[in-house]
Amino acid sequence: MKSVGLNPHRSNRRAAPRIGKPAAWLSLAALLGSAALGPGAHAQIPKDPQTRDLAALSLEELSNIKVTSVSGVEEPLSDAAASIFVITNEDIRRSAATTLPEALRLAPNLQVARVDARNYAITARGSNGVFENKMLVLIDGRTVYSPLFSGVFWDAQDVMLEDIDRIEVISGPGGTLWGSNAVNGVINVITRSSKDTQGGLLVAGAGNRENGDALRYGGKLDNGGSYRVYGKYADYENTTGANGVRMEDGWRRSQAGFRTDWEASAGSAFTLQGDAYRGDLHQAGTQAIIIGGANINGSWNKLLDNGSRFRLQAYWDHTDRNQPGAYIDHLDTANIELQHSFKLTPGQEIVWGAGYRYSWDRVQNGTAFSFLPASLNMHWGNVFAQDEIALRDNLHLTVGAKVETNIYTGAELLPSVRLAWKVAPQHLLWSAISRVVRAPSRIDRDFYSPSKPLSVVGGVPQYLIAGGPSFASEVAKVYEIGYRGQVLPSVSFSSTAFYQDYDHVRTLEPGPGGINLTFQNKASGSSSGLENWGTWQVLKSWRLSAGYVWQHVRTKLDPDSHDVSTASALAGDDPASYWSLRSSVDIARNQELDVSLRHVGALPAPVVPAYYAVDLRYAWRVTPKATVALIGQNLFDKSHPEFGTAPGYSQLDRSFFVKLNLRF
Amino acid sequence: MNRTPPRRFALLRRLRIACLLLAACAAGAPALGEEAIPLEKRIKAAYLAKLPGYVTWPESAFAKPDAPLVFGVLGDEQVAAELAQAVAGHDLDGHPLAVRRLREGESLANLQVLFVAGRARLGEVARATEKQPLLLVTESEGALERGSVVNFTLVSEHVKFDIALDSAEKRGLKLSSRLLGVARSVRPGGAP
Repeated sequence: MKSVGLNPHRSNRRAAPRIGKPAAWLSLAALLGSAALGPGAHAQIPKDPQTRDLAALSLEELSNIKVTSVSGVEEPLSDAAASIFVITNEDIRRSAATTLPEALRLAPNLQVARVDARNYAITARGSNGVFENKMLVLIDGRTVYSPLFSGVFWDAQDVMLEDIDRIEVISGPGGTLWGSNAVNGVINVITRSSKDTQGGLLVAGAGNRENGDALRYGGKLDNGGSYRVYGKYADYENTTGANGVRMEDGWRRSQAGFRTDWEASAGSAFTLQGDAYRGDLHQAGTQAIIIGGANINGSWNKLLDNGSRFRLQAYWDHTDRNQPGAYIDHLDTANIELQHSFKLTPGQEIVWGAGYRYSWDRVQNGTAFSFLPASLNMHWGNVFAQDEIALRDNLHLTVGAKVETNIYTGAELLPSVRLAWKVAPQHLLWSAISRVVRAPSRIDRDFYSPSKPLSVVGGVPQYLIAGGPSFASEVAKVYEIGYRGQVLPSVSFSSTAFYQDYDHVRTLEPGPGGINLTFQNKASGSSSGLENWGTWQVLKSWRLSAGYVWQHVRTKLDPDSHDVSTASALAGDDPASYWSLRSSVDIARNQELDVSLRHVGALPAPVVPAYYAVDLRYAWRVTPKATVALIGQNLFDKSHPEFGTAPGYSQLDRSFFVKLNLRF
Repeated sequence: MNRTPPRRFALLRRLRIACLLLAACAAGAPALGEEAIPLEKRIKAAYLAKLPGYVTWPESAFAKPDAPLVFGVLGDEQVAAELAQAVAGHDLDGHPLAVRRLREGESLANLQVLFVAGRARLGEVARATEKQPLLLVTESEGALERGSVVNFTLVSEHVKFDIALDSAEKRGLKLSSRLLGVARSVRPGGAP
């Protein structure tokens, strides 16, 4: 058999690996390395030492501080009946993360595996892989998944970490509000208002594995609004495989962008933002992959006099990905959506909305595989409504559904029912039942390999892989029950038990003669487990956070399936458990020490050993406007892999990083 | 296109590390004391310091374009102290920020923000400043009905605030929708 060059991340130069071995391209494992930090916060009223922590916070963050806690910022305790973890700006600032995917390690409900210098496998509740396709990822409401495979090219997504307000990470389904693809979770990156990022900020960082610099300036507009502009650059070294072979996976990337926020009148706020980026990413045996893109994103929020809220958002997004030896993809996406929330009666809050997205995908296919048709216009439409009913003061029932259409399967129904019961002011019990789908993406329907048919029989071209003409949506029914609360004044805790029941899961079925493999839906499966995390404010200046996830992920083929994909990179590879422990200490008013320890259990197939990693950050506020941080990652381990296939998988080395943040 | 971009930066990277470390060691760190002010008051002070950024005053509120923006604090020395430290040396749209500690009976003229602690003096203050372009901030139940614009309230141990748009309008103040968005509740105003 011939090669199955499915991997959009890495071209496949090999002449003929077998189907069972397409994981060879993944064979580089993991190398983790970055580090980061920065005195993020930039309130428009600069801080002084006494109130520096508070003055740096946004209005929302201030309102989320629990005043009975010994000090510090508590986990925002939202009343949402979902497994939600919020990564705050402060969390990121005090972490060792230098990039967006590294920052996602802060969410205890996410599996984050660094495949190599630039590729990540990120999911919640299992099915992890570089082709992971059940997470919905948004940056300021802009969907960043690729319709080629409904996953995310993590090597092309960037934001200025210091300008992130928060990252909401929801494990579990979010289909009713966010639509299909939000099967295992939603990652919502939300940047700060330009009002909160006034003045200048210079970030300069360098380390043994990577460099990262950023410059941002924020000011006022004549119309009373505010703006910021930023530019950033980062690069990362090649990694080395476990077999000692030097990988070609390093990268460098530049990005610039702006955001402006203003009010036309009281209660009517506009935001306009945009980014443009370019990068080159190493790839074995070819010239570098060139990525580039630009987006512009506008939103209008109107608070009406009767207290109802209206939101209209539109964006346009262009991405290019020129992957020599594989394909060139040009994708344009236009999206518009509106949302309206209002109180129907004193005890009922309605949210409803509608959206439409149109994508123009233009692929120049290579020889190993093709997306056919090469050019495809896609569109998705949706309407949704949700009613939150206060059954009693402390008992809220939320019922909602979204209908979303796509070009492959037509309309999909995404309903959910959620119940939130405030047992006591600080204790929330919740439960939810949802149905959600992963609609087909181009890889499921349009993927042909090799590009030149093996032969033509009776006028019909014969391929090794011949698309998936009958591929339907993968469906999940999800049952969740959770607790979130303040166990002690200084201890907050969240626990969720989940059962995700999957049906019509993707398989790759051989045709007659073992060729003409097609993608079909001949498997089912489940993922069940427990997600726990908590925070303990031990002292005013010392905070401990911990997270632990135990899960059992299982896939079962239908009796008539002859699936050959389970050994490929298309199947998930998940640990049975993973946990993390973080300690944040203010050593003095101007010095911080943050240590994190994480453990990820062994991955079964392909086998990746369990590992521990210790990251450390020491930051010193040299002057009120200048902070230096020393960051070490993977300190007690020379190197380890996190994902992929031995022996070629990338080793993630011990790494060091120095970072200077200067406000002006 | 260049196949090995990051590699060539190795030397540069080392130099940069050295420079950054040097920069770190070049300056001394100020020693700072601990603060015994309760967190609730510090949060209120932090809110107060941020509020002017979300409010537009009529021009008449300032004697001249570079006149200071003055916070008055009535009845809470700790909030005043905390606020004074937060705003010291800073300005907003050309107005230097200043804090005045007020005693009962003192003039309420030439203030742009007034925080009234507790509820004892509220009625009198609200009446005296009813039409003044003054952002009246309070922390007592029912204060919005009595003419306050922003009222802090403790909700499950979090400091939240409610807003009265009608009071703001009477005083000629425009509040940003971002502020309204964070408010726990907003009493609608009369204007369209």
